[in-house]
Amino acid sequence: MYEKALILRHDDFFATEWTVPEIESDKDYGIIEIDESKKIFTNNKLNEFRLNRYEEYKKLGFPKWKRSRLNGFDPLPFISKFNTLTSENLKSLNDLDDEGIEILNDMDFDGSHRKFLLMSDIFFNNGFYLKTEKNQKNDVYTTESIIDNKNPLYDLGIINLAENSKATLIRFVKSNGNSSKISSLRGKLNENSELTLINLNLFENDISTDNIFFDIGENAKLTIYDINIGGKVTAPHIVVRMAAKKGNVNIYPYYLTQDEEIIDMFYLIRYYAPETFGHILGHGVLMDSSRVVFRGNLDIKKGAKEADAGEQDFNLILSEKARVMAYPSLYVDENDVTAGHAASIGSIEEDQLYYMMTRGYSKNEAKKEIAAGIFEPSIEFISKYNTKLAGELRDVIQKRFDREFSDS
Amino acid sequence: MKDVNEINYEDLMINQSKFDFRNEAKYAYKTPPGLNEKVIREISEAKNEPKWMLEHRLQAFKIFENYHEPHFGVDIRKLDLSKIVAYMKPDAKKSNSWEDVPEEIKDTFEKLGIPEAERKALAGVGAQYDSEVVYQHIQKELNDLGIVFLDMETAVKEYPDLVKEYFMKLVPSHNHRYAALHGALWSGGSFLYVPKGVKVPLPLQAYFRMNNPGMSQLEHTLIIADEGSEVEFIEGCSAPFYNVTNLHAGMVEIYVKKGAKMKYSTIQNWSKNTYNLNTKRAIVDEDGSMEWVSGSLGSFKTMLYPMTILRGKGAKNSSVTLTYAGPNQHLDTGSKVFHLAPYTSSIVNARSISIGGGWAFYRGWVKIGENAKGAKSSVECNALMLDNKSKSDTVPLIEVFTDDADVGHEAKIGRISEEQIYYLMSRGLSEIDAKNMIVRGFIEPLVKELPLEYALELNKLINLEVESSIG
Repeated sequence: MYEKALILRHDDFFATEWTVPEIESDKDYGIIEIDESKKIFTNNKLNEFRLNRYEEYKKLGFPKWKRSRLNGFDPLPFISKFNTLTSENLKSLNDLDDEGIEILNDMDFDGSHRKFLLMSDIFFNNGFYLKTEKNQKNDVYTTESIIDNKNPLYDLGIINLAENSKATLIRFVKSNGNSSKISSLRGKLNENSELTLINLNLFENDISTDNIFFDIGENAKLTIYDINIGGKVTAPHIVVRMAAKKGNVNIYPYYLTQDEEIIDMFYLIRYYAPETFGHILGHGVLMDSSRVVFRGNLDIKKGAKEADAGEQDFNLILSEKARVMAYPSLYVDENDVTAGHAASIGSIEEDQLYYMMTRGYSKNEAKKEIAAGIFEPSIEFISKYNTKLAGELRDVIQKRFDREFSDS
Repeated sequence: MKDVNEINYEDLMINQSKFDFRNEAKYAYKTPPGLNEKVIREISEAKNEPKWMLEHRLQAFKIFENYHEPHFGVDIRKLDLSKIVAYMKPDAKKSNSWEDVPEEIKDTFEKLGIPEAERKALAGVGAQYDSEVVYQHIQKELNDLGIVFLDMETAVKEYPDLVKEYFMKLVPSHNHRYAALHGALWSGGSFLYVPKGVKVPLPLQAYFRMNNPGMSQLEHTLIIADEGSEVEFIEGCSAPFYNVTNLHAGMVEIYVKKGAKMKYSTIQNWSKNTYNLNTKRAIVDEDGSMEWVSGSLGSFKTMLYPMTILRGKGAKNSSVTLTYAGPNQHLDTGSKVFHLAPYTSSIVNARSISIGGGWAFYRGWVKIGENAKGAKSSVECNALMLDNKSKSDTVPLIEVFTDDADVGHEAKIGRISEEQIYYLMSRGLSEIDAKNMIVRGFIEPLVKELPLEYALELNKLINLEVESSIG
């Protein structure tokens, strides 16, 4: 089952689709890197999967993204094994069973760009298999990775939630600068299961893309906190397919950019089944000459009667040179639905500032508190599961705002 | 009580056949199908154009030949330009009296209600039949105020300096493939100049009718509202249905000078064999105001995004649009507003109705530039899907390049809710009346902006065709 990111057709009508230009890279990976990866991931079926994918991979170039200022991609030297701190309850990819392989083979999609998706599918130097048992309680799984220019991360994740089980996964990536992270993550949520996913990315001058695809079973629930701080180019790409009735999805993107950083987000919830619920609620702050592209897509297919689709995106701009591009799109083939989206872009309201200043804050302190306050719900949410990582997030945000408002 | 799910939604569709009458295919002259330099020279020669305009056409054609198709919008791969007739001169002389218009053509416009509208309350009318204007008239007292209202060909000859200064400067040929095509083949359209401080008391109207199969209509409308002036312009279009493709690739360029006010209303009702690839753009100077009122009801496929460039401090834009996509229609429409100066403001209220399998696609673009400090923009999109065979999409682009702006966007898509109908029926309305009232309420923002008392044709379309067809 291939889940295409955009389906622009209706009966006999088609709409024109943009094709992203591609650039070949002299430093592209090949068989040597596959062999290196195979030394640590020895699962035969997994190796078969990646070799099949390689046939397509080698024909593709890297994307040229105009808005994200990404002009091709030169991968850093490959390392065969990435040292990630992984919680003991998380399985290795070498333990991937037939169900896991089936998820990999069945759940195919475009990713932020097909080349990037296949790159992590083929050359992964890190990964995990999260599988729950029926009626399993809410275990918390964690991966913590630190990337630098000698440690590019290629991550492959598979999630398989059994019926009536519940799990929380925290994926934490921190950068020491000038590195890259390319990931692919596929998750299947079976009937009545529930997953909370926290993606916590604290980037410096890195290129990163998370390629994530979830399949939501009947009455299953998915909550995603997708938190991206900084990065030279950060391009999360999350697709959720709700093919069974009463699926429930909430995605909360949080983002913060400074200097010349760029975050280019793509979120898609596709509703195929009746009574599905899927909402996106984004919050972000921009500073300096940074830019944010927010692409939120809600796609309701025929038959998704009584689907509830909503999207909101709030942006706070703290610099006259920062740029926000918001594209909240809504595609509807079924009329018996509730569907809406909203976006707002602006600066700190004078009334808010005035109120804070009457409480004794200087103007800059007030701005800092208001801006930092936007991230508090995400920090509070993470702290329910991992106070250390919540603290890391708070520190990074604080440091960034301290620098921005250093004259206070 | 009848179940609301049993309502026949076909009752709600516009009956296009009322506009599907056609007269015998008569013309004085036409170019052979297809596009080439010879055709362009023939058009220019037939119009006895000055050399500079021929050069403009040839240069545009070169651009067209090397331009790619748009990377977005409706699929136009089946639009075979080699079969399109670029120029079809009507079998009529240009006239400023209805009496002198040939009988068949007069009959067409009589059926559309144009002369009646003019008599009742228009300041002037331009009526184009196929490739050229056959009737152009403005009230004498408006002429005396210095208002110039001419067909474009006459304006090229009588006001060459003014036309040269503004013609395709706002939408140059290299802007996109169909702007280049327009630059090469344009024919007909209106030229309107309103002098400084003059407030035109009544609207002016241009009406475009395509009568013949396989032809293209590429009229050019150029409006200059000089400083402090005020003017309203109404545009209507229709065509009978043929089984071959027709192409409409008109262009509207509007210059709103300092403190001027311009309102431009359009009802597009091309038949369902027409590709409507139209370009409309306005540029607004300091404290100027531009209003677009736009109803897109007809055509097979449409790509139309009226654009306003707010380049002067305090300039304003308002766009109220309705798109109606019925069976076998794909309408890709939207509003574009670029804020390039401080304290500019814009309001976009876009509505669409899709029915009978039609596809209504809203594609908007609001851009707040680096210098647009204090800019405000509000965009609202509402879509009504009247059945479950149709499709409705909204893809707004919101780009903000400054920290001192206030931009909001909201969109909603859905059907007429059963609760709404039950509520109205519980208050004594019949089910049809309830539905009628809801649809009428939905299109109210557009209808209230239209000068219905002046333009019977528009009244027919919006009031009779949409609302009364419910019954």
